[in-house]
Amino acid sequence: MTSETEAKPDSRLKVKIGTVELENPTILASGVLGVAAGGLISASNFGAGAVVTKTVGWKPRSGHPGPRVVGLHGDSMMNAMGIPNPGIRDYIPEIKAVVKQEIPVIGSALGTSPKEFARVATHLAKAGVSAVELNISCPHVGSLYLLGMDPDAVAEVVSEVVEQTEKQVPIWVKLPGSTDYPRLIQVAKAAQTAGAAALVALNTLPALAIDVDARRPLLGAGIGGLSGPAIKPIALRAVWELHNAGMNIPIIGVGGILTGQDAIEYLLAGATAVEIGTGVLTRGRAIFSKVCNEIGVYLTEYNIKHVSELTGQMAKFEVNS
Amino acid sequence: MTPNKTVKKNPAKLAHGLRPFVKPIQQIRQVTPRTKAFTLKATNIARTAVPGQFVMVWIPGFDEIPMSISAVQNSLGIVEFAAAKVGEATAALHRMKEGDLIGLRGPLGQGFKFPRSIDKGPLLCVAGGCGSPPIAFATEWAVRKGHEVHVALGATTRSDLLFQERFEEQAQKVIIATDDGSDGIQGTSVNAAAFHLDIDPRYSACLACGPEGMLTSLAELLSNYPIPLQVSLERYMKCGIGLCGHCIIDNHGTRVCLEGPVFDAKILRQTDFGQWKRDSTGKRLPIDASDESCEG
Ligand SMILES: Cc1cc2nc3c(=O)[nH]c(=O)nc-3n(C[C@H](O)[C@H](O)[C@H](O)COP(=O)(O)OP(=O)(O)OC[C@H]3O[C@@H](n4cnc5c(N)ncnc54)[C@H](O)[C@@H]3O)c2cc1C
Ligand SMILES: Cc1cc2nc3c(=O)[nH]c(=O)nc-3n(C[C@H](O)[C@H](O)[C@H](O)COP(=O)(O)O)c2cc1C
Ligand code: FES
Repeated sequence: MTSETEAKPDSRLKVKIGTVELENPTILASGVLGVAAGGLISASNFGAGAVVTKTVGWKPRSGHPGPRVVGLHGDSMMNAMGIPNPGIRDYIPEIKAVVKQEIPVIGSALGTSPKEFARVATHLAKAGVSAVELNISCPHVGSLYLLGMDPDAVAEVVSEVVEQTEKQVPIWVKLPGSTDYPRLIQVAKAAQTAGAAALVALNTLPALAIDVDARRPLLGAGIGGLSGPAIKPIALRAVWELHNAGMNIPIIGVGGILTGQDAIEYLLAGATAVEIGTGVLTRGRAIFSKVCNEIGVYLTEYNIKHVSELTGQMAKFEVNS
Repeated sequence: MTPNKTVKKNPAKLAHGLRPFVKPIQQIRQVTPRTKAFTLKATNIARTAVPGQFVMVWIPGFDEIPMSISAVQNSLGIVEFAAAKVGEATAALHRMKEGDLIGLRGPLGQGFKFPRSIDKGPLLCVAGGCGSPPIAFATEWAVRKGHEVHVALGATTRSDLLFQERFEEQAQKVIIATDDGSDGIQGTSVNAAAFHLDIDPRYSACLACGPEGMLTSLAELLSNYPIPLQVSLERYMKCGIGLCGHCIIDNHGTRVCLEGPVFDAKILRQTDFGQWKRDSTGKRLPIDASDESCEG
């Protein structure tokens, strides 16, 4: 039904994020294509090593009124979807349809309390997801963003989830989009201590776009989350800061990846894998196979046997203070 | 300009669909008791839009909702859409006055494909209920290209027949159907289409828009004829640009906002067509003919 190219496997690209083994390090980011099983399956067919579901909560949410997306300069954009989701019970069939195809699925969970996070995560685990990604960081759902910037609150959520899911599934924590790197490190350390198996950096950054004719924000919710190339340097630094802070759990880089080179930058900064969202707009769903091919070309050029050899391999440097 | 260039491979084009053109409403006309037609000057949209494409209409302070383009006046850069009042956002739109600002993002999606040759037989255009806007645009477009066009137009009652005069002015033949028999034959737009087919079934193609129950019965009717059918679908749309996945209708990830809203009926066989729709939360609900706000 579509003309975009399908992926070719390349054994040099296989990665392990803790216990989760993937064919390649490109992962579909949460909130993109993920409302329906078909969207997740298509990302996998176009080469994604794993797919993250739409963030799902306990109860249904309609999300924010439109406009929900707006394009900015270049390939960057903002969104204020407001995490529409049908609630975990009605979303399970979508997840199961993807799991059935032996596609590694990461379930993105949301909750209004530690207990609710845990309940959603438990349902996701039962549906057969390979890992649960806790969305403690959506910038246009105010309560979530505040949660993600509070190390104690994050620790409480992560421990409750880890305890209730009884180690049946690894718990990843998705950090808020922020340039407050010391705080991100505190939150990440709190999450790690509480039992998180991986860190995902970053979610979109809180931002504003204005229409001068209407003299109003361009998004229905007023504020929204910035994504795409505009946030890459910020998320890249966050990955590097986390890596340097001596985290001993894998880091997944996300923000503005359009090409293999972008992905390699994240790997060099300390990431084990990457997630791609907005890039789907720019390069179509085939972005996953394209980025993989581009990483493959780089490995060949520098005679590197395996993509994991790139993680954290940027030259050390001193930060002047 | 060919109607069906793939948008997804052209980021520059997508950029259009990512930012609204905010313009004053030029003209508002009450076209049926519950439908108003709005015109705006949006030159970029008027220049590139083809029938079947849609725009996301931003009603500041309320919502952004998909609307089919119902006409363009290319030389004046004018775009028209026709909105039925069904809920909060469309009610807010109906309260607006000429000169008020709204935003248009688009043109979005893929439109109808017209037969290359005008000699393969006339086109059959079928519009049921609120399905008239893209069909009116398609009719005018096809007539301008030299096609002979026959129209089947249906609504619950005479006053709800949308764009009847436009169809009667443009098309060579129009058959009207109303559920209550207040105008034309008693029945639906599908019954009107069957009437056309009984007279002479040598159509080159059939283009249709309307409630999904009507589209499925039309597909059933046309399965007895060698006439390719294209239908315009409606699904809940959040982004309109193929990113969020809310409008996906099958396990291949087919997005109504990007690969549609117009589809060849053949490829809809293994999809949610006629069976399921998503609500604003993304929950799948069975399509129940009685739920549909625009009958015909
Ligand atoms: C491609 C496309 C073209 C359309 N063209 C026209 C047209 O030319 N004329 C016309 O009158 N209507 C058209 N519609 C339907 C129109 O978008 C809805 O009637 C409108 O969004 C209702 O908004 P509301 O807030 O007034 O109603 P609500 O009370 O919010 O909803 C009423 C109904 O509209 C549907 N709806 C609401 N929001 C959306 C949305 N974002 N996307 C899709 N459906 C929605 C709901 O499913 C519900 O059934 C089109 C829809 C699509 C998808
Ligand atoms: C339309 C859209 C919806 C998103 N929805 C979610 C979501 O539901 N949950 C979440 O954790 N992140 C969500 N995100 C954030 C992305 O997963 C990702 O962290 C961010 O967009 C940065 O990556 P990118 O630049 O590759 O898009 C969304 C992003 C976009 C653009
Ligand atoms: S509405 Fe978002 S993908 Fe179609």
